[in-house]
Amino acid sequence: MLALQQLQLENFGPYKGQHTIDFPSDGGVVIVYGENMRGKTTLLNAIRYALFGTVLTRREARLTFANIENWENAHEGKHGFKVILRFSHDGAAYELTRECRLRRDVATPQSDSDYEHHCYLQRNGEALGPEETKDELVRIMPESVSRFFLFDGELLQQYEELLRDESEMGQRIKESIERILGVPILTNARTSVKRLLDEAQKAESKAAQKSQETQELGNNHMRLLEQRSAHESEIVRLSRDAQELKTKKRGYEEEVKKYERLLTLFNERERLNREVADVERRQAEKESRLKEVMAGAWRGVLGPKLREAIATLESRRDTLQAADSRKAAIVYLSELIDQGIATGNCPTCSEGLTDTSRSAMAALKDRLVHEAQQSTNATELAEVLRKVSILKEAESEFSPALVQELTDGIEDCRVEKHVRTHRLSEIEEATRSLDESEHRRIQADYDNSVKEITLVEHGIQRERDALAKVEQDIEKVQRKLDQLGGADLARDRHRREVSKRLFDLLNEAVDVYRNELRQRVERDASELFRKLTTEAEYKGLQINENYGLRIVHSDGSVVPVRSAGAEHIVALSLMGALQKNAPLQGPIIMDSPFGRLDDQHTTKVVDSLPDMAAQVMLLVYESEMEPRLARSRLQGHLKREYQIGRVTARHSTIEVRHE
Amino acid sequence: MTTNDLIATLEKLRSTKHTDLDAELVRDVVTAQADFMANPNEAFKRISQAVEAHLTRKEKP
Repeated sequence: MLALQQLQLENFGPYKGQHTIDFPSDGGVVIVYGENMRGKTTLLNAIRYALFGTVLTRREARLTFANIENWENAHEGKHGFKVILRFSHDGAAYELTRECRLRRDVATPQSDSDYEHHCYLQRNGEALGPEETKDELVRIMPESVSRFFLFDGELLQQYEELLRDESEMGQRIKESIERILGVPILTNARTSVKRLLDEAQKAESKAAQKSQETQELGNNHMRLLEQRSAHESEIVRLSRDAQELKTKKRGYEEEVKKYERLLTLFNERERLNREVADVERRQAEKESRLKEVMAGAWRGVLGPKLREAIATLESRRDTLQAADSRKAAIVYLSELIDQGIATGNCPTCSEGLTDTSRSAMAALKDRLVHEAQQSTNATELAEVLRKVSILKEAESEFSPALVQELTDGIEDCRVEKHVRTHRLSEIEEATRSLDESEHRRIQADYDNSVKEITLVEHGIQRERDALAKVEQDIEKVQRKLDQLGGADLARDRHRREVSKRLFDLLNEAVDVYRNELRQRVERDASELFRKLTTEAEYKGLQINENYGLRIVHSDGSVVPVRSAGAEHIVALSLMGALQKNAPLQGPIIMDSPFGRLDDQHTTKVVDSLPDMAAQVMLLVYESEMEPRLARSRLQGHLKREYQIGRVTARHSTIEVRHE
Repeated sequence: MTTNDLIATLEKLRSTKHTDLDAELVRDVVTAQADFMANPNEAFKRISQAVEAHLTRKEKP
């Protein structure tokens, strides 16, 4: 078991000069209080740096040495930093020193290559060589499982990714979980036994090639083994390529995220430019139309006169049309009178007419004809109708309402254009010093990496299919060899058979062991969850294939959505369960673990800390966990309290806290 | 879970479905791998030696 004894920092991050944190030898909880930006995460990073030689940001980007060293010192021209971690592991005492110094020939560092980096490891007072140091550190604390010992409360929500089958992050966490639980012991043993099996088969082929009776089969067998080896190598190569591409993709993702806002601005600029062009087009159309309309503006000035003239003409038209109608009636009446006079009978009732009546009718006709001749003026009516038509047309071609509408529309276009060009100038200002093409390139690289990953994964599948076919062929040839092979092949055959059986057992055991682990993790995480949650109706957690955990209600249903706080509690439950089931035991160092939790949950988590690991270090700010609460809940488990003090924004100190 | 838990899981499986395999060999293979996780070549060497020792044991009358 790994147990920390002392962490010593020198000019690391805000810690100017030398600072020390001691860990009591009997384990328990050590709390370091510090407000935001004082250097809590730096302490986690210092331990990470000591063990692995790197410091990562929350987005998993590597921090440069210039960003790790004390900035105030660097400003004074003094560069470099050092971390010494003293610890025990399986009964041995270790002192691990990592140091970064500026190269002698460099005055001002520009990159990491301007620094010299050194790592020394002593075991029980004896210095180990570089290779042994590397192996020993991997044995004590592999970086791949460090997330379960050195964890950042802000990143606990990452564990929700385990619930998403397609999540790359979830896949990586799952692999880490399996590592800490010891699954690689089985998978690596399987790989070793597979290598033994391959070697035994090759030895068998060679032995068969030596005998005349089995030579041809031996040749065939060897050829198939070589084919299999080629396919396997290709799968390994492609898998490595896929892994590299995925790593690259993650890098691009980071860059893309970093420039996401900028890309949003660039996209907004493109959209605005399109909109401005559209507004300009609409404005030009309206202006052109207005010009046309305004060409007849004189009609607008003469409008009242025109309307007056039209009214006079229309009145005259009505008079003329009435006269015209009367004339038509007179013609008709005259024809009837003529008919009556000619026949001597009334044209309406056919009664006989007297001479007096006929004389009166003739007189009436004369008067009507005279009247009709007086009122007839067809030429004038036509002229009046023509004038009315012309004047109405002139009046209708000019509409003040249309002019108003067009003018308003043009004004709207101007306002729209102004708003957009103003925003464009803001975007221009915000992106002036940035290389847009670089950001577009990153996006394109990201898109390409996604396509390449798909291609490589298809390639892996093709190779796997081909491999399966070759395996079948090998088996057929193997059976024939088994029938024909003599005593000279016996030892190789036995080695092959034993290796094959071992391989089959290990292969099966991987799944069986995984299932056992999942059951244990589910059981222990549920137990811890019930202690941590304040919701009495939650009865436990349900694990999936990827070790993702869902909350189960007492009615047996799975809680579909959970809050950030619940997510935090579930993640902490998983952590506790993994610690309990992992062959590798060590301290838990938690940075800001209570940030998302209410007081009740915080109290419950504090109560459970001593059960989660033998040694716990909490990096918290006071409002996240009050010292009074920590003391009352942890009592004897609380071994030491430290306070991060502020000297300047770039200079913090670590002091033992006394109350 | 310790290496012993792992060996116990394997033994359960061996004793039920792979009875033709030697329990001692299985234990030696897993122990060799667990002891040399940080050094795959050494782990392979030890596993290979365990298999050879098993074959030799079997060949002895």
